[in-house]
Amino acid sequence: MSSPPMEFPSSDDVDMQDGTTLAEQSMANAPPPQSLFLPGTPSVAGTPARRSAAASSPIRGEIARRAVGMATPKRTPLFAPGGSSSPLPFPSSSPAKKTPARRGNQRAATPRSGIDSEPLDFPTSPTVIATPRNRRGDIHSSLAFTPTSARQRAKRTIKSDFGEGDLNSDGTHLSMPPSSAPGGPLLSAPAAPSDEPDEIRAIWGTTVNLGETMKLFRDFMRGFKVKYRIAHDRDNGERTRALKSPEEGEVVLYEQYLRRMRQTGETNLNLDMVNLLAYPPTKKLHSQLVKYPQEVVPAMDQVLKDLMLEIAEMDQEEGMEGMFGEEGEAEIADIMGKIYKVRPYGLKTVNMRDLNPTDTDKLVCIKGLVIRATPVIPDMKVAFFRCLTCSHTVQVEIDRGKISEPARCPRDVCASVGTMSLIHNRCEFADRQVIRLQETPDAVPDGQTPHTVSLSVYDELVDVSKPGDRLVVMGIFRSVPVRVNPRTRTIKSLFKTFLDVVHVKIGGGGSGKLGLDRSTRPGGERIPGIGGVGGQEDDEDEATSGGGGQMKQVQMEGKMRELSQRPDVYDLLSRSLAPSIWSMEDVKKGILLMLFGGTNKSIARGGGGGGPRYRGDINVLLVGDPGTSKSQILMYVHKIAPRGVFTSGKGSSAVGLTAYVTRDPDSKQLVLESGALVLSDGGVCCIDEFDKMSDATRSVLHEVMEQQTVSVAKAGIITTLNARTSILAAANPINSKYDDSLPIPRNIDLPPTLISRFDLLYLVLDKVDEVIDRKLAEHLVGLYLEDAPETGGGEDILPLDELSAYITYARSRIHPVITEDASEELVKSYVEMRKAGEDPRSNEKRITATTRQLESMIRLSEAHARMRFSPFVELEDVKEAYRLMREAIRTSAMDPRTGKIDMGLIDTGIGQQQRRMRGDMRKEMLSVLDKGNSRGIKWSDAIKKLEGQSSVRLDHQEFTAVILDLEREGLVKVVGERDKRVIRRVEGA
Amino acid sequence: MVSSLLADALRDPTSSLSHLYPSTGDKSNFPALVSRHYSQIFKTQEAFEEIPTLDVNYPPKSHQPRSLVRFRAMVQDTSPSPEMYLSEVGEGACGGWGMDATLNESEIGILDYSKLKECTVVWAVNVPGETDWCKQKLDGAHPDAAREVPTPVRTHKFPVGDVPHVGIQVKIYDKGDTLKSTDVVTFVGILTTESTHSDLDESISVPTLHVLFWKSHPRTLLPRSYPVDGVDGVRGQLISWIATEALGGDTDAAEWILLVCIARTISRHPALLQPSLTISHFPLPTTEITTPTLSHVLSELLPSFLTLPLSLDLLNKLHFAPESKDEDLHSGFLQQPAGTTILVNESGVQEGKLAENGINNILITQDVMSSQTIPYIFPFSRFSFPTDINFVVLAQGKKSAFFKTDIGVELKRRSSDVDLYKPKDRVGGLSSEILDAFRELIGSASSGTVKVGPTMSAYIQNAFVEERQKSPSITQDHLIHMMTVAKLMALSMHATELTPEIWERTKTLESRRASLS
Repeated sequence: MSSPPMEFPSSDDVDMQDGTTLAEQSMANAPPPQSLFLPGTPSVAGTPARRSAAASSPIRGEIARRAVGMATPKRTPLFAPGGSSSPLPFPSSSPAKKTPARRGNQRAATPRSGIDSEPLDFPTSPTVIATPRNRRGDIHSSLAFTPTSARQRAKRTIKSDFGEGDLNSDGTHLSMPPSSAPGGPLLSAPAAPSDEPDEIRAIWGTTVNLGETMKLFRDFMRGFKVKYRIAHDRDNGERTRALKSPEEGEVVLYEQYLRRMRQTGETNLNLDMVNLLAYPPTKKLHSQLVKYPQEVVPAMDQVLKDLMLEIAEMDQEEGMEGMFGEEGEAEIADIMGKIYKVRPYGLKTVNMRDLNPTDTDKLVCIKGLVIRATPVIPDMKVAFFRCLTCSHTVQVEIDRGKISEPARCPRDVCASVGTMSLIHNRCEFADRQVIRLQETPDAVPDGQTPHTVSLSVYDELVDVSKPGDRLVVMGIFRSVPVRVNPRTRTIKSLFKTFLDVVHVKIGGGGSGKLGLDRSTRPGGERIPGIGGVGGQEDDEDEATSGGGGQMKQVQMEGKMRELSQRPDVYDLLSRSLAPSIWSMEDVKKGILLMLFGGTNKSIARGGGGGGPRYRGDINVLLVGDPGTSKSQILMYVHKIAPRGVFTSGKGSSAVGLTAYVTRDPDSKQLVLESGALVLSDGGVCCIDEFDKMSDATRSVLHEVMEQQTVSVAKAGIITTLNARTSILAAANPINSKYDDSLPIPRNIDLPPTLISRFDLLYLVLDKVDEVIDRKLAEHLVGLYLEDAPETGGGEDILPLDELSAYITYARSRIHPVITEDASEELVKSYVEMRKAGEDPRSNEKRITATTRQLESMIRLSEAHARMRFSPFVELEDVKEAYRLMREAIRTSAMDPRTGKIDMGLIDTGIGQQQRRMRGDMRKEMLSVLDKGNSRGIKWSDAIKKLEGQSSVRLDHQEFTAVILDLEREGLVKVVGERDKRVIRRVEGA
Repeated sequence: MVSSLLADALRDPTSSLSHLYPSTGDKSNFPALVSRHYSQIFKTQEAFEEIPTLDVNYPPKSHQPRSLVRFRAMVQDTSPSPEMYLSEVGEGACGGWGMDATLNESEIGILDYSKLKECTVVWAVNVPGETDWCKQKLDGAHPDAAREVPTPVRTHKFPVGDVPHVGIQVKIYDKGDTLKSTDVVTFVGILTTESTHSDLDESISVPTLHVLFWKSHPRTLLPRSYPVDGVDGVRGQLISWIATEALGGDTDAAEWILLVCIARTISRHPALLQPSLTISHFPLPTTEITTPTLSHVLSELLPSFLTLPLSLDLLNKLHFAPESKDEDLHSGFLQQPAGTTILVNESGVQEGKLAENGINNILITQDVMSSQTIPYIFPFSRFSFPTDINFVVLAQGKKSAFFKTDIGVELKRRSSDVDLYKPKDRVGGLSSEILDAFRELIGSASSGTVKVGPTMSAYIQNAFVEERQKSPSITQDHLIHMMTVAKLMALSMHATELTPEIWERTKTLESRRASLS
């Protein structure tokens, strides 16, 4: 359709269809050999005209080069000054193919060469095409545009430019009478010469003017500045990024992107559609793009290419680096030969259930989980038909997923009916893949099974995503009729639907649950997406707003901010956590702060990976009598928490909790499967029956809780996996009932080293107390005897999802910094805690706080600040953290024999009191032995003797420990077994 | 007028439907109108019963193509993607409902996408646990016509393997998206055969029902009202019948079974779930018959009941939880509608190796028992679905080998030579009136509610505090358990309010049980 003055009339056309030698060229003017189109002939098989997708492009390129008698590809500038050459780039063997190679290695595939003689059309394809035709699989539109760069206009006289109108006539048969069939049965816009880009071309059935659309988009690309987006975001009440300098806002964003595209050879431009909205003149374009992507996207592609050329020329004139003279020419020629694609993204996602017939052919955005993907399917883009009678050939493009076979030969002279047959190896194919996308668990309505939709992805997008990936896709929603039978032309009134994908983003989608804590990810992790330039900067904002649409997001945010300003927000939130569980306020508060978490800190400088990392995750251990709803609390947390994993210590082996290596049943490859801890990376791992866990498993937790990694060494694979997770564990006391008279380590069957890794340890004891019992009974009766129980006794509480959203928001957005005041208070509190160990009456020192407690306190205060959406950790945060710590320490680290707090109990398992007692016992024992004879003293006698001297009951376990110590030191010797043991003083020691 | 409409609809539903279409003003709401129109025609029970049934006795093959049928079914799979259909074909003719509208390719270009409408596609199977008496009551008396053995397609979509069943594809045009997996509904529609549609897999031809209207069933399948007067005598009779026929005269065990069978999930947040029950020391069968008589007795009483004869082989082979493979949701044994009671019989378990699948099955069953949720396994994700199933476990030892249940009752037979495995025909005959009274008692009790007045709640609180003073080992779990059982006790007695008498009665029953275990 775009037919500027043709340089070579069809009759003059030099045929090279067989593409063998130049010598043959002269012969080619003669009527073409019949064998030309016969498939299977070796010469044909070798021709560049083969379009089978299977043939690899570089080889085709090689053949093409040989065909023009060049041993090596020369990169002579196409637009050599003063040269009379045709500006025709060699269209290679697949001029209309979007991506010659799977990953779009365009340069290798399309060798360009200068021809300085006759305007030589290298007829590898029947159609003479100046630039590769953009035939996007995802768009199915056949609007073709011509690049209209300033230079081209100037050189129009020598420029040859063919549009798609030539499609249905074979270049080799131009001398034949032209076919009567109109050129554009596939056009959705009437073909019109495109000399002037603002020629009026309306989208069929609408008033949308394509020329205007193109102009608008061009305007946008040249005029959009970062500041517009910021203003737009601010108007919508979104968080905006602070600019480093006012100049930053003035940057013409897309010109930068285009330059980057030129430098990197990238052909895809990711276009954030919000930017279209933000740029005042192009607001209209946004809705046009959504409604008529089929027409608007190709128009944008065209503008993109024009601009690429324009900017390249501009830069060349300005003498930008790398754009001097020949280098620049080569660059421009390169651009000419490329196909540029605009990949719009950034619409708000809709649930795939909400897609309905009215969305047909519109641009939609959905998210989901890839569950299956087909292998690459060669997808026919252009069918090649040949008349069996007169050998006239016709190319037919795909339209809405199907190709209409010409019923009769289009040549008026021939016009035989039913003689057109498909020549497979001259058809054009593109890569296509069908992907089944399933709803993500958070999008599925309660009690429903997840739905799936089919996605068709093309070219670069093929194989970008794998089963298991979460995607946010932009695509055109299609409905195509179902055929009764593949061989008949009749179709049913049933339609199947799918999405033609234009943009894919992997790993997107905020969910109702807590998002990942981004600070657990190594610096600046990019969400993987398809290649392409532009738009990735805004990903961070997007990931959090991907959920339920912008408006909802804004509302939600407002609501949360409001909530965070409530003076009683702390109480409200802790009350909302497990409302059916009565009392246990402090436990709930501790767990609440665990959910918010402290901030992860890493020392930026230092050895690999940014130096050591200090965990911000808070670990909580609940120890208590059975039947005190510990498990219920865990279940609640599991429901709210991000990547929450619930596991019971009893059933989980080391493997289940960590990761293991297995052979994949399908691929027979070794794969690493992660267990609960790795799965909960960036989340919360809830472990019930912590004490019943095997030692092997528990030992893994040592690493997890301080280093936050899991090391796996199995089947020859040694890996350290990240397990940056908070641990919420519940354990029962040793004899299932907590013994008040014993210190904690004696009550829990857990090594002290592990216990000390918990920031908060709560004892949940079941004490018989009439008042408390009555209250508890009241609570339970109210809960269990009504048929529509009101949770939490009618007090105002937050629903689960809101609580979850609140936490998510705080975790992803708030990163409080400790203020001067707070740090002083921290120091003060710590010193105070340590001082509690000093007893003015004696010179003994019990340890009441260690640096671990200080770290815990910092984490808790950060979490508290986060909870109230404060950017700073302030005095009150530290105070509350201190209070919680004290409460927890008071219950857990109190030595029941002295009533004093002793962190030594937790850290080493031996309290100060115990240590002193052991010292006394040891002294006593030695004196008893020294007094006795050399035959030693019987074990039971020794106990009796000591007991007689002591005012308190002698602890047999303690006694054993003391004797063992003495034996180790070589002071005594124990002989005999069990009751017959005799303790002897070692002579001379 | 209505009667002629009725006759038309019964004789030729397709033409009845296509006549309805042109007379409709607002075409956009046609599906809703169809649903209203036909449910009006078949409003009365008599009219409704005139619709031929589609069930195991009358499988799809026994019906003419495009005939009107009703199908009481459990929705098995709601994951197939909805389909789009052309709601109007040609010159104002009705589309959808499987009407043969084949278009020529040339027409496609000028298709009006605004005429496209969506219909929901689900897979439905007959209710797996439905007992014979319940089926009879719901279907009405039908002459025993051509009894054909159904040849089901896609047997993996039926929860209970190796049983004749009917499974069909159902297309719902009006409000189909409200259906959930394991919902029990009666679909009325036009029966055809169509192929399944899938983008990646081969499609096969399956019986398909195009739904005109559908109605859902209560948890008890038959509608029941609560309370029923004068059940006191019936209750005692029922307990002694269960005890003498199936439990060797142990009335306490029979009472516990009754309580568990009428229980249901009341609330999930906080969790007020039905308790599960283990009858321990249940003797092993002495003859080849391995089905306990209790199974026959309960299937005479409950609307939806299944026996699960556990064995290592079954545990290792069967899948208890539904699993989606290649986008096809395979059913699992525990994919059952709410209100189903499952009798787990452990007598078939021998020594041997339990494979991974078996362990999974046990974990899943335990999960259903204790939290009333069942996982559906989808690729890369597991979804937890609420369920509402009652469990009675028969264990040979002191407690169940596999499961932890809320209540454990030791079986006390009057004499050890009572046969607990006698076949169904030897179950003592009762008149159908008495059986119906039993069924009504159970049915309505399982749908009733009990109130707790303020005095009663104070009474319970006091009792709890006192008991704790006496014995500190009593925890809040005891209280919760007692309250659950007391409520069930009140329900079984068809009381509307919990009274101190019922509380004390529960306490004595509970203490008898506790003293044994």
